[in-house]
Amino acid sequence: MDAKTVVISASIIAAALVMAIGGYGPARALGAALTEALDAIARQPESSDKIMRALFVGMALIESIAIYAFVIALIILFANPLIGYILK
Amino acid sequence: MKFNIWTLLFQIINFIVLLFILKRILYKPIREIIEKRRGLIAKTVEDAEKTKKEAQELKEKHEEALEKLKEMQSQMIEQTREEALKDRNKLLGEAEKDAAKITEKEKALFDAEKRRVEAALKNKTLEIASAFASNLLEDISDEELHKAIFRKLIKENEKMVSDISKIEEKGETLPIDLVSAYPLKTDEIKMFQETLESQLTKKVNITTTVDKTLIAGVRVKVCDMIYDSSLAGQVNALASRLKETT
Amino acid sequence: MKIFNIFPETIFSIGPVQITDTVITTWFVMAAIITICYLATRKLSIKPSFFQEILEAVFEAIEKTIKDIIPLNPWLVLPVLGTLWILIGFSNLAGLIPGLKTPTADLNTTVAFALISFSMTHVIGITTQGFKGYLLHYKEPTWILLPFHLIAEVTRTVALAVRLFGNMLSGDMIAIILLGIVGLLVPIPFSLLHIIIGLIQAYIFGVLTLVFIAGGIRTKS
Repeated sequence: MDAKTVVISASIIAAALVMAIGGYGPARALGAALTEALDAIARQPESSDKIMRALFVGMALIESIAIYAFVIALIILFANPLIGYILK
Repeated sequence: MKFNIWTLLFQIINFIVLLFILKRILYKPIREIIEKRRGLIAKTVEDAEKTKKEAQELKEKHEEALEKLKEMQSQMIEQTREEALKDRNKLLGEAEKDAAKITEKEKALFDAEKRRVEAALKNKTLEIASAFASNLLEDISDEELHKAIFRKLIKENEKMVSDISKIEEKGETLPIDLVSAYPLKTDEIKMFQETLESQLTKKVNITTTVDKTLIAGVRVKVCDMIYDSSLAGQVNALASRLKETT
Repeated sequence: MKIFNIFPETIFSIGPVQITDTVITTWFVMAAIITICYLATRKLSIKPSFFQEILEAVFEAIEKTIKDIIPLNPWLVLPVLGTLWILIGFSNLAGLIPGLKTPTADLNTTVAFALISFSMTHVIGITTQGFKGYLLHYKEPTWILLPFHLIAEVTRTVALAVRLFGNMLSGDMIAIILLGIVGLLVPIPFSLLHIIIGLIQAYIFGVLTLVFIAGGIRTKS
């Protein structure tokens, strides 16, 4: 098991962990936000426009965390700077 | 995943180019059309508002005119009523006057008629009363009554004599008609003649006739003077006196 | 696997200028947008046709959204914002056409858009309340928060770019991976989801830009 194999396998595991953990938190947060938003809409249907807009913006902000995780995973998998470093 | 400065620059340029193109072919016309429509709507609303205001004004004017008209109408009605009242009063007065006149006339006529009827009624009544009295007397009269009356005549003949003496006939003898209810006896006639002759100091020529209608008593006729002491004559005299008194 | 490469490649270069397929796809998209807009606005009239009504409804909706968020004349920001929305929306959907790569799945594109959004925030802020007035909003509520404001300026722009990029790339990537694993028709539901995500991301990009602009304008309360 040379260094390259170690780095690659570690990268794959790391990417999987990044997606798993990075997806879990935002998923919980999205669920909570949606629940609250639906509650609010059910209570005040006339202000559903404002609530929906706030929900979208908030969801985008929450989702961006998951996206960061996804980007990191991509970087680890496809543009891993460590591999070039080792191969040198 | 390579960072490419050219792609980034190209995308920014692309965006700016698209922005200008869209500004020309999309935003400007759309904005213009929306503004135009809004302006049109605003203008239409304004127009409608104006029209409404005008209509309101017109309505108010109309109502005012109507009010005036109503007032005028009521005034006219009042006037007409007053005039009518005046007319009516006048007419009423005239009518009353007329009616009074007519009533007076009628009353006069009525009075005359009444008097006439009353007179007629009285005459009739008197007639009937005298007839009744005659009948009654006829029933109760007899020779005795007749004789009594005749004797009374002879006894109380002063008045007759004084009346007769005024006649002053030229002839020596005074013709006397003696109408009697019952036939008179000659001695009675003679006695009458004697009393007359003694009081008048004149000769009297007595002619006797019998008339049953006299009921009782005698009627003395001297020239054109009638001295009636019969019952029928008395009754007639009473009737005529009654007629005169009322 | 060369056909399924979802990452941008350089097609040709003129001297030092490299033209990638992302830029070429964007040109196609722009051509499509311009054609549609030209056809749509060719016959505008006071009495709208069916198509014009849709167009106007879209614009009224955009106007209303802007009006709800920032207290300015909507037409001040509407052209830029509308162009952002339209271009991002069409670009997000362009990847559904076979043979085209989604332009927004290129980090360069999304960074370009994010830079435009970033500069727009400042331009609007400065034009509406002056340079000094705009700078003053950084000290709100206190001076202590100034570094955080500055950090937020950078991070939110980066987040804007990366969010769009990540969403689009993940959609493309899921489609590619599924295609490679299970076969022909299976990615279709994910493509439908991708349409929705693309539209929502375009909307969110615009709304976030609006929110940032609103944050740059001090509300006089």
